[in-house]
Formats: sequence, structure tokens, C-alpha cells
Amino acid sequence: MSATFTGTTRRYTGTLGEVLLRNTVLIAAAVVFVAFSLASSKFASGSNLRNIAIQGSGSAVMAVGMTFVIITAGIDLSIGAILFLSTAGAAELFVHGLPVVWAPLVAVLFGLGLGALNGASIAFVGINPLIVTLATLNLYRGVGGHLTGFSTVYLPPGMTKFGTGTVASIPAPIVVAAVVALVGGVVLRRTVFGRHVQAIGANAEAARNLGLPVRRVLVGVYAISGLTAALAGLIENGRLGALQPTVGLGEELTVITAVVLGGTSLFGGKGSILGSLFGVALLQMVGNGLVLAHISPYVFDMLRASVLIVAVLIGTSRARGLRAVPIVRRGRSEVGP
Amino acid sequence: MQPNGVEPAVAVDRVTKRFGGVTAVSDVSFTVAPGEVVALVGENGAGKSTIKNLLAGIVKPDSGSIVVNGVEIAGDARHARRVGVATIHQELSLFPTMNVAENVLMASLAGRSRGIVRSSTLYARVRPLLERVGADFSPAAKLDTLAPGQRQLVEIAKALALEPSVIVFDEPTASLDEGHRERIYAIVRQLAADGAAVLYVSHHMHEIFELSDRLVVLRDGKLVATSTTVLLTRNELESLMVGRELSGDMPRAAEPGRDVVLRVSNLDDGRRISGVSFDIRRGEIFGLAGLMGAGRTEVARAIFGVNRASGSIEVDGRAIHRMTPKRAIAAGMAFVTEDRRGEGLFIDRSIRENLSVVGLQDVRVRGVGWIRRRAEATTAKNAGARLQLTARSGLEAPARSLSGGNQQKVVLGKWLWRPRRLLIMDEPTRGIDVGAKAEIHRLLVDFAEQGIAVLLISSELPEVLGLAHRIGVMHSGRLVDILDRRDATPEKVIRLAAGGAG
Repeated sequence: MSATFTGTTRRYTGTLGEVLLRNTVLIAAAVVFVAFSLASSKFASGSNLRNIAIQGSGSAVMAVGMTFVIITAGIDLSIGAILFLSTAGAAELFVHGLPVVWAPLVAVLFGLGLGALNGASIAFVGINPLIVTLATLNLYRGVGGHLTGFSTVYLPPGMTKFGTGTVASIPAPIVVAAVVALVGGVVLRRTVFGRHVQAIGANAEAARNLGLPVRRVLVGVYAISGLTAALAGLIENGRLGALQPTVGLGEELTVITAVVLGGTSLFGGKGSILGSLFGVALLQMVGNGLVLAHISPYVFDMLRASVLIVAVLIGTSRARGLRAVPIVRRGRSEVGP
Repeated sequence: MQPNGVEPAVAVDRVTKRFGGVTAVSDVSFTVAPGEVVALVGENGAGKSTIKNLLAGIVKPDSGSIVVNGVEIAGDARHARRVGVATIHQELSLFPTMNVAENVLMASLAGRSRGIVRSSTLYARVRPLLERVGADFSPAAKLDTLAPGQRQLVEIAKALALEPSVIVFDEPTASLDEGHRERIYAIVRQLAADGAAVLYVSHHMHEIFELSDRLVVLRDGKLVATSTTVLLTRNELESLMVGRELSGDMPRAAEPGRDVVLRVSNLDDGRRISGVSFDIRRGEIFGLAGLMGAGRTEVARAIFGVNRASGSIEVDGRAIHRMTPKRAIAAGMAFVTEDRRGEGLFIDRSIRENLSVVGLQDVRVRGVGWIRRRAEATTAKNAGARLQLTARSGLEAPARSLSGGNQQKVVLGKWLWRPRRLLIMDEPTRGIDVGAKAEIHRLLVDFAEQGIAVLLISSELPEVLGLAHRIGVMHSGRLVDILDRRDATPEKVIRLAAGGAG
């Protein structure tokens, strides 16, 4: 009796409902775009869309880093604080004589280091990521506040070009976001490191048993998240030309919401950079639409909160849909006579 | 008995490993030569898994040494892999959200190229491996779309990808049906013929005798015998494992009563099963046979209300509409799932809590919901005694600490707080050792003789044929025939299960 499997390579597409569930963020973004365009002539204007893109660039850059973190079934609450502290540190060094051309690089290195510190506490000390980054959220914000004396610090022009410059007449924030997203996508999909990130999120114990460098990958993932937060800091602080003590406050929640909305599972193992970008775009459009409609900005907070819950619910039913697949599939693998 | 002059590929020398207060492996020594298949046998909890994990570098010995190809392994998984050890784990250690190629090559991604991974290269590397294990699914298939048997093949391909000189198989056929098992045997023989040292962990007497050159027998963490396989009989091996004589016969339940306990008609879940009708009488063991994927588990899950299905389900003549687990339990059903660790246990909670979870209302202070700890502990202890549970670390230890056979007893034991009318058992002896298996069989027959109706699903034909009064055979979601045990032969059941005429 020899065994043969039959008909298992066919791609499972599923019912219409499941297809819709898989592409929620895309559909939602399209619906919001069309609805707002109809409701307000200003919304779809070129200058407003350009504004949305520029305003969303910082979050988009951080969403790339956050996607890596969440795929490992982790979380990084400290990105808003890193956004603040990395720029603050570089500005402080500039005041003490650091040439301004080096300031952006120094800020990025600070971000990388702060993120790596998160990662090391998680991977080597073994503390839960939620706790580690909740603690460093306060720590980093506190250190930054100490450096700046909790007052607004004006940045030298050399440090603002990530926010205000242009590359081939495209605003720099958009260029930075596009480059980061592209690099992030390639790293996640096409590199050994990226596959290890996905593997750790999919089954951490199996990854350890295989001898994958689990701890190094985790440190790397949080370092990437810190790096993207520092880049976002250069964009957002650069745009304002100044470092405000409240910059980035609560932005981690927007970023996490966007990433989850984009289909990345909080349980780890799966997610996509493109989805996260759509998540950012959706939230940004909603925020912008509310401003155009003269609705209180606090409504955005309420909306963001409900969107997070809905996104998690959708993610859960997505997971349930996936679990149903093997039951369907089991029948197609018959034993041949 | 070593072939003279051949360096052993694996030399385990006086190895001891303790976990907390429990000695899992005590002073064990054996060797495996290149080209040799050595079966590692013993009851659950005998220390086989620990030996496997020691070889894989997942755990580190407290004393003694493990030398592979002249290099000592000391609790470093990557190191073990580098010196040529590949392990095929029983609890599949795969990445469900990733595709087949990524799963197979995950460990060797880094070895070849730091940096960029190309999917087309991965597929090209994986294809010959998939061919070798006889899989016809695509390297691009997502793992969570594969059936359990197919996943097992992925796990084996993953080990082969490492081009190992030492391969440890841990119960590779536990989740497979007969046809797929043959494929695994062929792979094992080929590996040995190519000069690999194979350590084969199994409970299946049949495959131990068919595959292995030598046997290493463990009991309670100690080495009790090593022997050339052909020098031992099956009975001798079983008594070595268990430490006492076992009768080879299955217990037989007395003739069932007349009253129908469960009547199922036209069960249809719209996907996997349709038109399934049968009934089970008081004290009857009704076996459900069929190939993997024939829909047996789906029938069980529909009856217990875990999955929605149309059709009617009557218990003691009363129809129950829109079955849910809650209603099923209220009607006196109990369901022992095939997925012991995933669905049957709260694996990190204590044995006591696992045993009491169904019967909590019996030990609570009414109106307050306060649990009387002492009553709970006593009842759990009684259940443990009734099941002859071997819990060396006590009832407060997590369920995880138990061997597979004892875990299964806990899954069963949680239902015994109240008298039950119908017991549904899905693969109750999968992956457990002969001793525990015999005890589970004994318990099943006892239940039947107490008047409980039993629905027994098993991929092991001897089990169904030996225990059941009647056997329903499923093929492609349909119940194709019901055989009386007097007419049922293995040939007949296999023919029906494969879609042939009875």
C-alpha cells in the first residue's frame, strides 16, 4: 500500500466573507477615501492629500519597525519616548559642539541603542516586552525631559531637513517613509533575518529547538523599532523646527493600531509592511477628515480606541478562519489504494 | 552488539538528568553505529523523550557524556545540529504561518547565505527533499493548510535538509494511518542503508520489530536491557518495558443492553460529513474506523456540539436541538478529544485543577461559588486512584509534568465526577505506551459494563476490532457500513475504508 496525497497545492481562497476579512484594511481605506471625497471637496485635493502623506510619514516609518516587533509576538510601547529622547540627545550633543552634519546620524544611533536596550532586557533578562517597554517609555521620556528641562528646544537648520527638505521636489518625509518601508519589506520577506523573525513569532519553542539565534533576532527587532522611532523623530521634530516635550506622546497607540489594522497578528507569526502602511493611511485620513469637518480632536482618540478593538476582533476571526482550513483540507488528503 | 571496528556514531555514556526532584534519566549508556537502526523503547515517562532532548542538545546532562561523531554534545541545540544530529519531534515543531519550504530550510537558511533569501532557490532546494519523503504538496503551500500526516512529512524533510549523520525519530507515525506509515518505514531503511545512525523512539511493537536492528529498553529512567531485536519476542519486550507480564489479549466487554442511548440520524456539517446515521445502546462500544480525513473526528465533534451540524441527535430518546457542549454534558455525554495537549488539558495548571474542572459545582459552597479545597483535593485523589494515575510529583504538579499515558488518564478522569451516559473517545491511546494503553482499554470495558455507551474512534485497527461490539466504517465523510464484531475482519474494514465494496 503506497501513499499518495492528492490535490493539496491548490490555493485556498475561501468564501467571500473570508476574502473580505483578509483585506479589511484595504477596503476600509478605500471606503473612507471615497466617502470623505464625496463629503468634502477639500479632502481629495492634491495639497490635502500631500499633507496627509507628510503628516503620516512619521507614523508610517515607526509602523515598519513595529511590524517587526509584533510579528515576533512582542510589543514596543516606548517608540514615542524614543522619538523624543533620540532627537533630544542629538540636540544636546550639538549644543556641546557636535557638528550638525553628524546630528541626524547620532540621533539614529541613539534610537538604535535605546531599542537594543529594550531588546536585551526582553531577550537576555527575560522580562515581558509589555513591561520592559512600559518601563522604558517612562525612563526615556524622563531622561529626555531632564535633558531639555521640559521646555521647547529649537533645532539648528541642519537637523530639520528630514522634516522640511525635498528630494527631486518630493517632500523628504515621504521619501524617508518610502525608503524605510521598501527596505523593511525586503528585510522581512527576503532575508534570513526576516524569516527568523517570522519563525520566532510562529513558534518560539520550535525556533529555539532548531538552534535559531532567537535572542539576537529579538534584540535586532527592538533595535529596528528604536531606529525607526529615531527617524520618525527627525521627521516630526524637523517639520516643527523644534523639539517639544510632548512630541510623540501617545503616538505608539496610533502606530500599534495601524499595524494591527493592517493584518499583523498580535499573537505573532504573520504580518505585512504593506498592510501596516494602509493602516497608517486609514488612520491618517480619518484624522484629517475630522479636522476638515471641524470635529474635536478628542473624537479621534475615541475613534482610534474603537478601531483598535475592531481590528483585533477582525484579526481573531481571521485566525479562526485559518483554523478552519485544516479541517477542510484534511479531507482532500486521501490515501490512495 | 556492535559490528567490530566501527566507531559508534552516538555514544551515550552513564548519563543522568534530573528535573527538579524527578530523575528522568539515571546512569544510562548505549551506542548507535553508523547504518544501524536502534529502537528506544519504554513506557511513557521511562525517559525516552529526555534521551531525545539530550541528543538534540535541548537539555544538558547533569552527569555523564553524549558523544556524537567524536564530539561531545552539552546542551547546545545549534552545536548538536552542526555535528550532524537531526531530530524529528513528536510534538511537531513547525511554523504554522509559514510555507513548506521555509519550514524545511529554516535551520539551514543562515548556514548558506547571510542576507538575501530567494523563494525560487528555496523551492528548488526543497523539491528533491519533498520527493524523497513522498510528498506531493507544493513547497509554496502554507503549513496551516496541510493535514497532520502531511505536516509529519514536512517535519521529516526538515530533518533530511540538515544532511544528518544521526537521526532521532520520536514517534513519527503516531498521527499517521497505515499507508503513510509504510512511507516513513521506507525512509528510515533508506537512511540506514546510506550510513546514517538512526535512533527510533516508538510504542508500536509492530514497527519496532520491523525496523530496528537493536533495542534499548528503558524503565523509570533506567536502562533495563539492550538486545539484538531478533533475539527478543514481543512478549519478552513488553514485560521488560512494563516490568511485569502483560496478557496480549484485549479485554472484552459483556453483551450490551437493549435501550438505545444515542441515536444519530443524517448528520451533515455541510463540509466533511453527510448522511451519517447510527445508534449506540447501553453498555455498547461502537467503534468508528476509517482513514485519516474520513470524517470520524468531525462526527464526534458534531455529536458533542463542538462543531455545528444538521441532522438529529437523540440521547435516551430525547432529541436535543442545536447541540452545544453544555447541552451535551447536561445530557450525560463526555468527550475525550484526540488533541490531548491542545484541547484536552490546561497543560500548565495542576493535575488537581484539571481533574476537577468539569465537577466544580460538586465541590463548591452553593450560592457563594467558593471552592471547598479539601473536597476538591479528595475527589481528585479518588479519581487519580481509580485511574491508577502515576503522578510522581503529586497532584499539585502541572499536567505538563505527566507522561502521555497519564495525561490521557487525566483527560478521561475529569469526566468521572458524575455518572455518564455516553463517552466519546477520539484516538484515546494515540502516542501512549503499551502499559497505559492496556489500562485505558480496561477502563473502557469497565465503563461499558457499567452501562455507559462508548463511541470509540481509533486509527489502530486491532483496537477497534478488539474492543468494539459493532464497527462503523467511514469513507469520505459517509458511514459506508456497520459491521458486527463477529463479521469484522481487518481486510474487510480496510477495503471499506478505502472506498471498496464490503
